[in-house]
Amino acid sequence: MSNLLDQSIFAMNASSFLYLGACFAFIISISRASSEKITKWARWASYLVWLGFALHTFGLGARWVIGGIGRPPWTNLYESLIAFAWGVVAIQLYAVHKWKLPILGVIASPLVYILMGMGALTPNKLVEPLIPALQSHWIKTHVLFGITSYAGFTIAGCIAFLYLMRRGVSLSKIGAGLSLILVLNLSLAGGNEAFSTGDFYMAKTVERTLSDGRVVYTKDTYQHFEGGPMITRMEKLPYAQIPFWLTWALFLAAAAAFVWTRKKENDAIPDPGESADAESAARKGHDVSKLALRLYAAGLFTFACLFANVTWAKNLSPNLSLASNPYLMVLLVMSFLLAVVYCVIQFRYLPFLKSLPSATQLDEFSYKNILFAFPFQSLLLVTGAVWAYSAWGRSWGWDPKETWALITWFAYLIYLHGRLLFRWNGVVLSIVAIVGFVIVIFAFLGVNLVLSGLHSYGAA
Amino acid sequence: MEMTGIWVDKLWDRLASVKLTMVILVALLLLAIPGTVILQYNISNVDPGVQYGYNFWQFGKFMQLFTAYHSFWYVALFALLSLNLIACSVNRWPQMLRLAVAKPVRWSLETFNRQPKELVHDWKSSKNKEELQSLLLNAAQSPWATRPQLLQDSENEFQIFWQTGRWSRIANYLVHTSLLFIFAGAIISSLNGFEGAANIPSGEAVDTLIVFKEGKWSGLKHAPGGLINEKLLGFRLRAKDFRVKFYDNYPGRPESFITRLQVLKDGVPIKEKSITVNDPLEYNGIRFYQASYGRLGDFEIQMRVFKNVYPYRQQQFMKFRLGEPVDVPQYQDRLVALQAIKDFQGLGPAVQFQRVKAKSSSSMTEAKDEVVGNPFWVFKRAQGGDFINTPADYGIIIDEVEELFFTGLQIAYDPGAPVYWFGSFGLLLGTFYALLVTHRKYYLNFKNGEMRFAASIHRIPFGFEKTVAKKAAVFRQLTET
Repeated sequence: MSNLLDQSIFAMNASSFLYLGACFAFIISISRASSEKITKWARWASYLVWLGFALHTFGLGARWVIGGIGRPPWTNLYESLIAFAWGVVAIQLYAVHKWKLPILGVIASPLVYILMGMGALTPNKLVEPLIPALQSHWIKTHVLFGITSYAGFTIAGCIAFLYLMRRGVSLSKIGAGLSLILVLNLSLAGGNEAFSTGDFYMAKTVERTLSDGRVVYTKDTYQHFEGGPMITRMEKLPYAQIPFWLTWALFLAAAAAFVWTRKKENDAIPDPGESADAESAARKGHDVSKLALRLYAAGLFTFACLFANVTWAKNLSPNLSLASNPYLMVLLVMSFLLAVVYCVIQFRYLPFLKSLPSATQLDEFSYKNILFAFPFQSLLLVTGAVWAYSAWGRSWGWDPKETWALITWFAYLIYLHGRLLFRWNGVVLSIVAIVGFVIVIFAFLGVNLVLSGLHSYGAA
Repeated sequence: MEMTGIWVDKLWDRLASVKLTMVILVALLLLAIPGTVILQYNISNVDPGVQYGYNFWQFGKFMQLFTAYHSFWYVALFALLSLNLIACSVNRWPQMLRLAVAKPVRWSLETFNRQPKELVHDWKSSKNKEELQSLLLNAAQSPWATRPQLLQDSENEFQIFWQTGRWSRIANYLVHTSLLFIFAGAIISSLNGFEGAANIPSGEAVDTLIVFKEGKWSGLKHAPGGLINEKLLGFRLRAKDFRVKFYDNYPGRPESFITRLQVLKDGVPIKEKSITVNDPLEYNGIRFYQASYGRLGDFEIQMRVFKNVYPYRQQQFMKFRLGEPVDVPQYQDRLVALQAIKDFQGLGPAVQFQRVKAKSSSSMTEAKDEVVGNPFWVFKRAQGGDFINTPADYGIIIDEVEELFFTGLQIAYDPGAPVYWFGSFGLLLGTFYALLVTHRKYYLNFKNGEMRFAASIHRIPFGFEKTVAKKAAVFRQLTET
C-alpha cells in the first residue's frame, strides 16, 4: 500500500506544478492584446487546471482507498489543505464551464497553488489511522460541509474581485489596497526579526548533538533519529534584507502614490453603473498615475530579486532550510503572483475588462456562490455541534475554531441581509464578500496555525 | 399616559428596525474576535492571571474578557438580538404569512403588461376553449407546484394559476424563530445543567464529580469533606474495566479506549454499558463521556513461587501491587516489587524485586523493613512465564504484569439539548428553504384564441427567464396549431 501512497503524493505534487503552470498561463493570457486572445489563452490554461484536477482527484481518492472507507482523506493538516484546494478547483471548473468564466483562474489559481504548496511543505503526509475522537461518521459529513461552504465562499470572493474590476472601480484604489496587503504580508514574513534587527531571517538550521557527541546540522526538524538535544536556529539570509526592505518601502510608497497622485479628472465621470460596457467602465476606472505604477513595478522587481536572493542563499548552504515557516513562504509566493496579475492588468486593462462578462452577471455569480455555500456553512455549524455533543460532552464550547466558523457565518449573514433587506449596491457587497473570504481563510487555516484549541488535529 | 404610549411605540420601532439587526450582527462578529485571541478560562490550560501583566489582568477581569462569551456585553448583545428578532417578526410576520397563503388574484391585462418582457410569452391557439383548458390544467401539474386552479372561466376566456415555493416567504421567520429556540435551549442548559469530570481507577467506584460549570438550579449537593467543587452524583459510578488499545504500527497512537461503566443505586447495578469516545452512557439525563485516561503509575502483578527443585511442585500463587510488601511464608522471606516495565528493551514485561527483612516490632513506630541484598529483575517470558533463581532459595514465575489505569470521564447534564436541537433543525430547514427555494407564480391566460403565459418571482430572480421560456415552449407546442 505504501506504493499507492507514494503515487498519491507524487500525483498531488504534480498537480500543484500543473496549477502553478496554469498560474503562469493565466498571467500570459491577460497580457494578450485582445479580449478574444485572452479568452482563448485562459481556456487553454483551464485545461491545465483540468489536468491538475484529474491528478488531484486521483491523489485524494488513493488516500481514501489506503485509509479505508471509515477514514476519508481530510483528517489532518496536509489532507485538509489538499481537500480544500480540491473543493476550490471543483467550483472553479464549474464556473469556467457553466458560466463561461475561464478568466476566473487568474485569481483562483494562485490561491489553489498556495494551498497545494502549503500541503507539499507539511511534513506529515502519512495516512495514519484515526485517534478515537475522530472515529465517527460525522467526520465524513462535517468536514465535507466545511470544505464545500468554504470553497464556495472562496470562489465568491474571487468573482467579487473581478466584479470590482469590471465595474470600473478606481484601479488606484484597488492598487492601494493590494499594495497595503502586500506590505502586510511582507511584514508577517519578516516577522519580529526583521523589525528588531533589520535583517531578513526566513531560514533556519537545526543543530543536533548525536549520542556519540558529534554535532550535526540538518534542515529537518521533523526527522526522528538518534540524537540528543536539538536547537533550531534562525539564520540570516545574506544580503536578503536589501531587496526585502526595498520591496517593503516601494509597495508602501506605491500605496501612497496610488492614493495621492491618481488622476482626479476621473472623479468627474459619472458612475457607469452595473450594465455599462467595458469601454465606459475602463474610462472611469483607469486613473493610475505614472508615478504610482513605476513605484509598483519597481517593488515587483525588487520582490523578484528577493526570491532570486533566497534561491541563491539556499544553494549556498545545504543545511539551510526555507521551511522555517513554510506558510509565510507560500504567503510571499502568493503575494508575488497576485502582484504580477495586478501589474499585467494595468497594461491590458481594456481587453481584460472586455474578456469579462458584464458586472451584473459577475455579481450574480458571486451571489449564487454565497447562496450555495451559506446553507452548508449552517450545516457545518450544526453537525459540528452534534458531533461535539456526542464526543466531548458539550455542543458548543466557544473553542476558537468553532468561534471563527460562527464569525464566518455572521459575515455572510451581514452579506445576505445587506443584499436582501438593504439592497446594498454591488461594490459594497463585493467588498463584504472579499472581507468574508479573508475571514474564511483565517477560520480555515489561521486558527490552526495561530490560535490553539480543541481542533488541534489540524496542527502539523 | 399618552407620553408613555409614544415612548413605548418609539422603543418598539427601534427594536423592530432591521438597521438594528445589522448593527448587532456587526457587533457580534467583531466582539467574537477578542475571545479567540485572549486566553479564556475553561478553554485554555494557562491561567490568564499568570499569562498577562497586572494592569491588563485587572482590566480584563473588570470587562470579563477572560470569559468573553459569557460576559455582560456579549450576553447583552444576544439578548438585544432576541428582542430585535421578536419585534421584527411580530411586525412583519402577519403580512408575510398573508402573502404565502393569500388567495390568488386574477391578473388583469394591465398586470400582464407590467411584467418584465422576458417573463411574458404570447402565442395564438385555434383550439377550442374546453379542450385547451383540460390540456393545460393537466400539463401544468407538477409535484412541486400547487394544483393548477382556474381563476376565471367565462365564455371566451379563462385564466389558470399555480405556484411553487410559497412557504419560502416565511422561511426566514422559521430561521429567526429557530434561533430563539437555540438561545432558549442554551439558557435552560446554563441555568439547570452542569459540566464536570471524574477520574475512576479501573475496577473502582466513585459517587462524586468535580464540577467545572454549574447552573444556578442544577440541584447538585456539595460532597461532604470533598474539594470545593466536588459534588455528589446521587448514585455510584463504577468503572468495571478499562482498556486502552494502541495501533500496532503507530506506537503511542491510541486506537480506542473503552470503559465498562456501571451505575449503582444502593449497591444494586441498574445500568451498564461499554462507553467509547463517541458513544456515551446516559442515565437520568446525565451523560457520561469517555474523555481521557491516565496511568496510575501502578502495576498489578500475578506470580507463583516454588521450591527450586525438580519437579516444581507446591507452587504458591500470589497477586499484589508495586511497593506493597508480600510475604512468602514457606521460605520465611519477604519481597517488595520496586518497579515494573511493560516491555524491558524488547524482552517483554519485567519486575524488579527487592528482598526485605521485617524488623522486629519492638518499637511500633520504627517498624521499617530492612533491605537484604541487591534488587533483581524477573522476566515474564513467552508461554506463561519462566522461572528464575532468586537470591533466596526459591524460584519465581511471573504470570501477569498488568498496568493499572484510571478512566477519565466527562460528565454533563444538558437539559436544554432537546430545545436547541429542535431549533437547530428548524434553522437548517429554514436556511435551505429561504436561500434555495423561491416563491414563483405562474399565470396562463386565454382570450379569444390568444394565449398568454407569464410568471413572477420573489427575491432571487437569476435565470428565471430561462425557466419561464422553457415552460412557455412546452405549453406552446401543446396548444399551437
